[in-house]
Order: sequence, then structure tokens, then C-alpha cells
Amino acid sequence: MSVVQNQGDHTGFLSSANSVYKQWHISDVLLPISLVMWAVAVARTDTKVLGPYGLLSVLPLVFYAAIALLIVSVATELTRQRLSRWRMSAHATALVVMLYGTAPIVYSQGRYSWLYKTVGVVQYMGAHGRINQQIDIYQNWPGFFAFAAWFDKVAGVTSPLTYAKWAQLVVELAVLPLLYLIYEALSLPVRQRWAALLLYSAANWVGQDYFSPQSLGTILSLGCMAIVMRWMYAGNSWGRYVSGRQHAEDKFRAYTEKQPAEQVSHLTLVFIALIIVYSALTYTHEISPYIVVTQLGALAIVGLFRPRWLPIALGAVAIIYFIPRFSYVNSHWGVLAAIGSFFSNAAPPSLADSSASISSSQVIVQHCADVLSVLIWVLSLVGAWLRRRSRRTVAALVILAYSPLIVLLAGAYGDEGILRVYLFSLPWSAALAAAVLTPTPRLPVKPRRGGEDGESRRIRRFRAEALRAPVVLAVVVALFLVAFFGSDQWNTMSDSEVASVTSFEQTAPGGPVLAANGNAPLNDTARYNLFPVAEIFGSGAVFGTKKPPSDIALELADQAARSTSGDQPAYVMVTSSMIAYGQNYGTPTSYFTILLNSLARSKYWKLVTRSPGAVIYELPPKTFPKGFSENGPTPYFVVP
Amino acid sequence: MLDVTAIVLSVSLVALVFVGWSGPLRVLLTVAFAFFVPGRAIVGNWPRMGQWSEAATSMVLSLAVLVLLTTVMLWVHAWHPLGLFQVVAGLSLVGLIIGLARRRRRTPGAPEQ
Repeated sequence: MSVVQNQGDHTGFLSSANSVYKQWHISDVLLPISLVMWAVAVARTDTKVLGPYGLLSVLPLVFYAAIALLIVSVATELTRQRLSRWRMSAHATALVVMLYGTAPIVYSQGRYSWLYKTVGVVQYMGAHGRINQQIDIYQNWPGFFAFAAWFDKVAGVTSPLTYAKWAQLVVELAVLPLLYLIYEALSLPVRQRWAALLLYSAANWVGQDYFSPQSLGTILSLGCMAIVMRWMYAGNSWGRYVSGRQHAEDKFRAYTEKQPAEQVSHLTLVFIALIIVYSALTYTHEISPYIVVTQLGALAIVGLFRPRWLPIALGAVAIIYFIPRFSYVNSHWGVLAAIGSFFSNAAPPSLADSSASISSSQVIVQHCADVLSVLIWVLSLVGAWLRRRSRRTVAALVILAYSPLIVLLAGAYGDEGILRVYLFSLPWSAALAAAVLTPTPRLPVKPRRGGEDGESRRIRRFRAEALRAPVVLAVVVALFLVAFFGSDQWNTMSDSEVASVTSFEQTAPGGPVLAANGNAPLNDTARYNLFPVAEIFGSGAVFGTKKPPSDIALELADQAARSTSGDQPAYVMVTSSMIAYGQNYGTPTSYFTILLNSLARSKYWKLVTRSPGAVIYELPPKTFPKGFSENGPTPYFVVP
Repeated sequence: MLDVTAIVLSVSLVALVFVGWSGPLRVLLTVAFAFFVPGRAIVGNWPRMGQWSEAATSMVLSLAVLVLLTTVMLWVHAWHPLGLFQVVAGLSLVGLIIGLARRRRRTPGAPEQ
């Protein structure tokens, strides 16, 4: 990590670079062994058939042993009096590689059906070289897609599918140095910084770090915060709160007035750099810029951030960009209607669709995710209490951790509002929670009469307290594994499924698609906007959650013909991941069987694709079923 | 060392793009370029920023600059991704070499940081 070498350990143990690096640590053995075990485990993992708990059920025991050994190694390193920067970097990197590098190795295709839509938008922009803001919201915030389309051309790949599955690993690795910079600027004790990095990586179960605008937005957001925390936070090196009641604003003014012109011009350059990074963030993601402004604004209100006008200026950049897009966003996402509905906006996705019958395994997976989120937030509050004496740092972290809740006043973001809040809260919550994992620095310890002296008691207590780290980290990682891999039975797509759907969308005439449900690698080509989708099964779908009739194909043909007026073809698509999703979310396999049998018998639907991963039928243009009427229900097709 | 790495990265990628060679190496070089090189050319000429953070700030600035440039290309209907790459790589090389020369002039005989 390219940060200025820290000269001391804030736990009170001064580090001497030479002695630290010359000694052999037990972690020098444990860490490589755990990595080798992980590599062996990954090589032995067979993902052809996943159980109800996804990847967890097929990972060999040696995988879990490797993770456990890594945690032991971390613990031994954290208990040392002097922390080795490079060893801790290696441990943090190894944890990220093990947690986020497993899926791209064991699966041939990227996880998450929604990944494929982003691939389609990238393909569209690369092929057309322009934006069509009427297609979807992605085209209104094109930063990530433009960058990815450029990347594809330079990298010489025909589709992001080639590399997209590695995005989680790359993003999580990229985040590590940024977080370290931020924690350093906040003057966190060194031990707490490393514990926070480990916690962040082990608790980021949300999965928003896939190949998406949100993942790039996370890097840019943290980049903004790193710049701000280093150069504008009123509690760090240059703006340090030195004495008495001198106000932070006075400090900022004093700094700029007393410093030579070179310093002031440096600050001007910092502002320009911040504006550049923030502007890129504004063009990339819809919500992230507002959360950054909210956090900075909250810091400015309590005097921990200067200059105060900067959040207003940054907010103006975001709002000016948003105004021309407001009508589109409001008409499709109901921004105005959602304003003020804090509690309904805060409902997690699992509760948002309460009518669906969810499998017991997925209920447990969701509970693990919920428990992990609550655990991090509870730990953060405990950590804030433990470190309450370092007022400014704790105050800043609490504000940064909990101010993202304000965005729930403005919308539910497709029932993902609370997930976004957790995501944006995590860097700061993890920093506070890390205070629980690491020994409290410099607590006075009185020597016992006739017993061991204060210094040896201090070291003994220090080591006992350091046991918290492996225990808490083990619990967090265990919950993470369930939350992160537990839904892979339906989150993963087979080669056959991806190839069939991609090939179909590359060559078939455009037309609406009736998909059994939305969990499939849909819309991953440059023609994605030609295939709007309506779902057949599930809450709010064409047939809802009720058992379909045996002649469902006839009814679908009727509705599809009404939608197209016979001007273009319509399609029905059933894929293996749709069936896996249905099994877990209230659509029995028998429903799919009824649908497929009915389609096979139908004289209107023509089979166009059949592979182990997907079956696609076409209703040719000008095909109207017997008894067709222009009046009747019509599916609501949208480009997903 | 970082400047030299960035120069080697840029030259290698330019060469691969020029000869039209594709494969995992080109993808990896593109990742390294996109995440590092343009930002390094900026930070390498900005001593105070470089003292604080050499790699992480380079990464953020690289991504931000490329996002802005590619988005503007789409908006103005001038989509020339390889042309943009050549311009960015060229400017980055100039910036990296200037930064290297400046630091060597300031500290004659001192190894490049």
C-alpha cells in the first residue's frame, strides 16, 4: 500500500522496521499453508450440482480449514507487540482472495442474473457509440458503461463476459489501499486500521461489488473520502485540533493564511482533483454522489470538515446533472411518491415480496445476512463507546456510519435502500467495530502488590484482549460465507444457458420475451433493448403465484399477440437458473413442467432453441390464436 | 520504480494493441493501465500528493479521468476508444517522463522513489 510509512504503533508499542522484518513470525508459515490449502480446495470443488445452500455444500472441508488457519494467522499477527505492515497487507489480501476469488475460479460464468444486463449495456454503448436515454436508467448514468466499453476495445475482447466474473475480486482488492488511507487520515490506531480492513472484507456480503456502476461508484466514493479525510478533515495532520477551544474553521483559515503560496495552490489542486473524481462518480451512479454529499455535509455541520461550502458545491454538481433526468427517473421509479416513506423504504428485499413462499434454506441465508449486518452495526456502537475518549475521530466515524440512513427518506431504490445504506455505512462501521476487536490502547494498569508488575500485566491483558479478534472475525466470516455463497444454486448460470440465451439475443428478430421469471442471463448483448421482458410466474407476474392451467401456452399466445399486434415475434423462455430460482422462491418445478408441456403441444409456439440450459419458443409475427380478441390482459414488458 | 513500471505497462500495451494481439495478457495489461497509468502520470508530477499516496490516489485519478473522457466521447458522438487510448497513453508517457526527470533533477544521484 502506497501510504507514508507509519512511524509508530498507536497502541503504544513503537515499531522498529528493522527488527520487525528480520524476525520470523509464525504467520510466515501459517499464511502460505492456508493459501495452499485454499488453492487445493478450489481445485477440488465440483460445482456441477449445487445444493440448497449453494456453494457451501460442495466446498471441501479443506476450504473451511484454510479460512480458519488464515484467521489464526491473523490473530497471531495481531497479538504481536509490533505489527508488520507487509505481513498485515498480505493477510488482508489473502482474505480478500479467498472470499472473493473463489467464485470466479469455481464457476465458469459470472454469478447474478443482473450482471448480464450490465454486460448488455456495455455492449450497446460499444457497438453504437452513443447513448439512448429513453431505454433505461443505465443509459442516463453512463460513466461505468462508457469506461467498460472503452476497456473492451483496448483489451481486445468481444464481450465483458470474458472477464466480468473477476470484478468482485478486483474491486475488493482496489478498495483495500483506499480504506487504509482513510483510516490513516482519521488517525486510527494501526491495529484498529488492519482489523477494520479485515472486517470490511469479511462483512461485505451485499454483493454490489460485481461488474456494475455501483462497484466503480464504491471505488470513486472512497477515493473522494480519502482525499477529503486527508486534506479537509479538521481532525487530522494539517488541520489537527491542537489546543483548547480553537474552532476548526479558524484552523482552516489559519492554515491557508499562514502557509506559503505553494501550500494554497496545492489545496486548489486538491479541490480540482476532488471535483474530477466526484464528477466521474456523478456520471457513474445514481445514489453514491448524494450519500457522499450527505456524509460530508453532516461532518461540516458539526465542524469536522472545512470548507463548509464544499458539500454544497459538490451537491450542486450532482443536482445539475440530475435535473434533466428527473422526469424519466420519477416516471419509472416514483421518486416523489417514495419521499418521506422512511420505514417502507427501509424494508429489505426479502420482506418486500412477502407473498412469495421462500425455501427454508433461503430464509436461513437471509437471516445470516441480516444477523451479519446487525452484528456489524452493534459492534460499531460498542466500539464507539469504547473509544469515546477520542472524541473527534469517534464522532466523525459515527456520523459517517449512520448518515447514509438519511437517503432512505428519499426512496427505496427498488427495495434495495437498506442494502445501499449498509454498503455505504460499512467502511465506517467496520472502523468502529474494529475497536472492539483490538486492545484498548494505553489503559493504565496498576501493579499487583507482591505480584507481577504493571508492564507484564499490561502485556498479558493485551494478549487476552487480542483473542477477541479471531473470535469475532470467525463469526463474521461464517455468516459472510452463508450470506455470500448460500444462494448460488440460483445465482449461477451454466455455460449452456449463457451461450443459448446470448446466441438467441444476438440473432433473433427483436420482440417481447415472456420469461418464466427474471433469473436468467437475459439482455447481455448490444441488442438488449429489443427484448423487453415480462415474467410469467411470481408475485406481480402474468400468472402470479397460482398454479398455471394446462393450456397456459394458448393464454400466453393470446396475451403476446395482443402486445405485439402481430407486428413482431414474441418469445417464451425457460432456463435452468429460472427453475432453480423458482424452487427457492415459491414456484414449484411442476409449474415449469406444465408450461413446457403446454408449449410443446401448442400449434402456435415454435421451438427455436433447446439446450440443457435453456428452452425458447417463438410466436411468429401475424400469428393469432383461435378466438383471439384485442381486449384482454396484456403483459407489461420492460427492458429489465 | 512506479514510474518505470507505468512506462513499461504503457509501451507494452500500446505495442499489443498496435499488432492486434489479444489474450489474457492484453486484458491484464489493460486492467493495470486503466487502474494506474494516467493517474500515476498526474501524481508523479504532484509531489505533495505523491508523498501521501503513490498508488491508491493514482488508481482513483486514473479511473476518474478515464470515466470522464469516455463519457464525454459518448455524449459528443465521437466514439473512438482506441484513439482515446493512444492519446491517453501518449500523454501519460510524457507526464511520466517529465515527472521522472523532475525528481532526478531535484535529487541528483538519488534513486527514484
